[in-house]
Amino acid sequence: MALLELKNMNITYKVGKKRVFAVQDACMEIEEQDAVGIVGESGSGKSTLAMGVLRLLSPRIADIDGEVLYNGQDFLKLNEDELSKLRWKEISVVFQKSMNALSPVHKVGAQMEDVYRIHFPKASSEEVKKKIYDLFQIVNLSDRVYELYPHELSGGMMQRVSIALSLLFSPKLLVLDEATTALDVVTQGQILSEIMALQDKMKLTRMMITHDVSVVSSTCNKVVVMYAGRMMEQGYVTDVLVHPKHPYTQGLLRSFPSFTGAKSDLRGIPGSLPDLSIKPTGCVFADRCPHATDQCRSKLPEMRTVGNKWQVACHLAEGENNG
Amino acid sequence: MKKKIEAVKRAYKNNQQLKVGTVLLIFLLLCALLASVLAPYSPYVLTEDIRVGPGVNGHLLGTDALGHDILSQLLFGARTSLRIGIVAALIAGTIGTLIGGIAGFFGGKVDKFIVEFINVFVMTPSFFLILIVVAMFGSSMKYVMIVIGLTSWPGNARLMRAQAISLRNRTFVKSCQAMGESRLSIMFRHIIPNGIFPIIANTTMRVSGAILMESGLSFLGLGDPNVISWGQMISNGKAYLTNAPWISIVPGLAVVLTVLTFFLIGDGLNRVIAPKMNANK
Amino acid sequence: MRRYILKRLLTGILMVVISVALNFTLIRLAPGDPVKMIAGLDDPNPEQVRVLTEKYGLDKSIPEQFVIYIKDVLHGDFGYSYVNERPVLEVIGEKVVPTLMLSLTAMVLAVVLGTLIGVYAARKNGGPFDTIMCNMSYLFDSTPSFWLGLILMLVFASTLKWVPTSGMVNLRAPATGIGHVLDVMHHLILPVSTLVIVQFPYYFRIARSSVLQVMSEDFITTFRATGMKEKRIFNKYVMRNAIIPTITVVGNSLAFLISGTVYVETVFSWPGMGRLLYSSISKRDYPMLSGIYLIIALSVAVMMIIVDLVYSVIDPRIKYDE
Repeated sequence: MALLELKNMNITYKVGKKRVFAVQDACMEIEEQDAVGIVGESGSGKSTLAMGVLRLLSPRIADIDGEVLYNGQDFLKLNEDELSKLRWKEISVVFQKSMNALSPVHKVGAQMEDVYRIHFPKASSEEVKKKIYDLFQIVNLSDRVYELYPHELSGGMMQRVSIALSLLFSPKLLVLDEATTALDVVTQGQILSEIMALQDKMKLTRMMITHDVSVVSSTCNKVVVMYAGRMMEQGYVTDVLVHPKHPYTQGLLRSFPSFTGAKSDLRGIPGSLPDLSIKPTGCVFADRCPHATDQCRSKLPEMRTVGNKWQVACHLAEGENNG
Repeated sequence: MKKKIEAVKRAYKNNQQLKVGTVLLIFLLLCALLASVLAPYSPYVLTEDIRVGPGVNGHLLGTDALGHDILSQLLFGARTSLRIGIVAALIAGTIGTLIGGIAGFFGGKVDKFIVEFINVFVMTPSFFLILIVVAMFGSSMKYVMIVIGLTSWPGNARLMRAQAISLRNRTFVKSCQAMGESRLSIMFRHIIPNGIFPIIANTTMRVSGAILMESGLSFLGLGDPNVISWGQMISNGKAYLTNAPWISIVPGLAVVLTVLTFFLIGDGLNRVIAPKMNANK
Repeated sequence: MRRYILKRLLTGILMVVISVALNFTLIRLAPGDPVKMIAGLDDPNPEQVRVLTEKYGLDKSIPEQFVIYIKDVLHGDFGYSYVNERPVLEVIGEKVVPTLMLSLTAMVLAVVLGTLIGVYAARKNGGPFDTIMCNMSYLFDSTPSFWLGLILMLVFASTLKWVPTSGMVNLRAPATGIGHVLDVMHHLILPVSTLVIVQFPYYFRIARSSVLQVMSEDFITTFRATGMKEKRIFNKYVMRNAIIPTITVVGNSLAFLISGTVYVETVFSWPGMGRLLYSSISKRDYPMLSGIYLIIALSVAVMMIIVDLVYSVIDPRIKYDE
């Protein structure tokens, strides 16, 4: 059984009377100790998907339906108390803007201590401190950070603090939401390799959300490509990113420089994201797709399997329809 | 700039405050402009009716202790309030824009000096300064407007400075610099027109403050004795509060309404500029 | 940290210097004979003219006069009120306590009420309570305090006769002991209520908007994701962050405490500095006016420095700001 499984998950933002269909019909599986990357341009709904899975979207601003099965248990049906028990112990997150990930007027250590006591309220001071110092060591931070305020740390250090915080209870599933995007390339590389090392050591399952295909290709095993709130293609990195079947994936890959450094044709995808408040009748990518046919504009493509756990939502891709 | 105006138009449609504010403003402006037509009496004329209540002998809002028709005084008072409020706010807006623009755009030592100057200026108790200046130099309408204007620019200056700082690093400003346009010309042709929007909103809010200040000064007897002012009317009615409460109540309501009008418009404009605040609402 | 304190101190001193200079300039610039201005009398007798000219060096050059003026101020000589025939400082001294009593009580109430209601409204953001309070805050913000005072007086004192109309004490009430305290408190009700009503919108809005702002910060999402209880997030993290703007404005308004009371003291004949200012204006008692202005400028400077120091302790970020 998969550790995390999404079944037909929809997330709709409510903005006044307007509805924005941010994520639609999301289906995916994450196996234990796997590393899955979710890629897409900004606005594709990948962060919303993560926030939705973690139930961090207030019901006042977003409706979520479908199923989010964690170890077979539907996350969306849990009440607040049940949810609180799972949070951070089972699933933890490293957020996008880690510079603001902690309260600016409380010391880093004190905040981590506070988080630790959510699940271990009776832990002794020394015990908590030791745990935090150990984590600091794992992410290459000095003990000094404990007594510092967030604004006294650099972006890279704050990122490490966020990672340390996310590992506080040795969670099974770690979600990284654009966790390294704001960092310079060198620090990004360092932190990514640290995360990879941690993953083996702590038997983590990793879900990595990024717009950077190269990050996925170098650190993940599987990949999900999202566009305009829909999943376009998913499968092993070695399949999807090497022989992409979906025209969008192909376009996305062409807009990034080659990993091997070989000079190739580098170009973007013409056009821009469609208006997410209108449900299209056909494929969401049809307007920008160079191969679009009449069928693409009129009929929503279904996910079809084209290889080993390799699925593509495109009328033009060949494979069996698993509707 | 054009885009911003478009954005305002769009936001205007969903902005209750702006709508209500504009309607009120039009009403007030009409009152002030048409005062001489609408007023049943000259505001200075002493009628036979002394301290009669609203509705008596055709005096819609009654008369005061000397027999002035309150409605007529109210209409003419609108002129004073609006004129002083708007002119004082414009003075503050202009000074603030220039000082803030220079500080933000030129940066460096000029900026440091101006920022420090603003900090000190904000700390000086301007309310007392206004009182003392008006008390010493006389209380003609001109002085009142100028003094209020001269003491309430720092907010605008801070806003404009922030705008100028963010604008000066934008590509179009950089390209103007590269093309050899002079700094002053860039400031007046690009920085100020592109950054003026928050200052417009703030200046509208400032009108409220200036009107309140003016009515306060007149209440304390520091208003221009030659014009009719609501503050003075309230002050006149003070002695007859129990016998003829309308003398004070009516002009007070007028002040509240007028101040509220500019408040609503200013705040409405602010919400248009900062949609984030709007989302919170 | 030390640099920060030093900087604030310098700003404070600079402000006092500017206020003193401004004050000096105003008196010299005012239309008419400076002797008449300083005397506050239209026809000072020759003796007064001689004494004043000598004391302030009015026959000397302007810079010399300024030096003399500074020296006087440094020696605590804020001038002499010929209208009251007493030193300015002495008259002001008598009025400080009633003013502080009135304005501090009002401010504490306004801050506490405004903040509590603001925080509550922010938690119920968009609900009926929030909407009503927001509209009320607009309305009261547009209300001139002197007019509101008159209305309250008309309703609660003249008509309902629940509270006395004006003054600080009833001459027939006991002049000492608990009876006196109760009497003063009874007289305080209306002026304090007036001040609280016009001041509370300010604190209400600041508390409300800073709570809303902090609630939208990323770190709140972090804590939610960790499973921390909403109550704890709010009480510990939201409040601690959201209270900083309130403390700043409280500090700033503490400095301008007396400004708000001028109107209310005038309306309710409260024997404080505001009323002194009003009567000095109507009597054209310029030495008194400039004395009051100086005292206020000085206390504002001192308050600002204290507030800045308190602020630097509360907000760890401030020390590092240039």
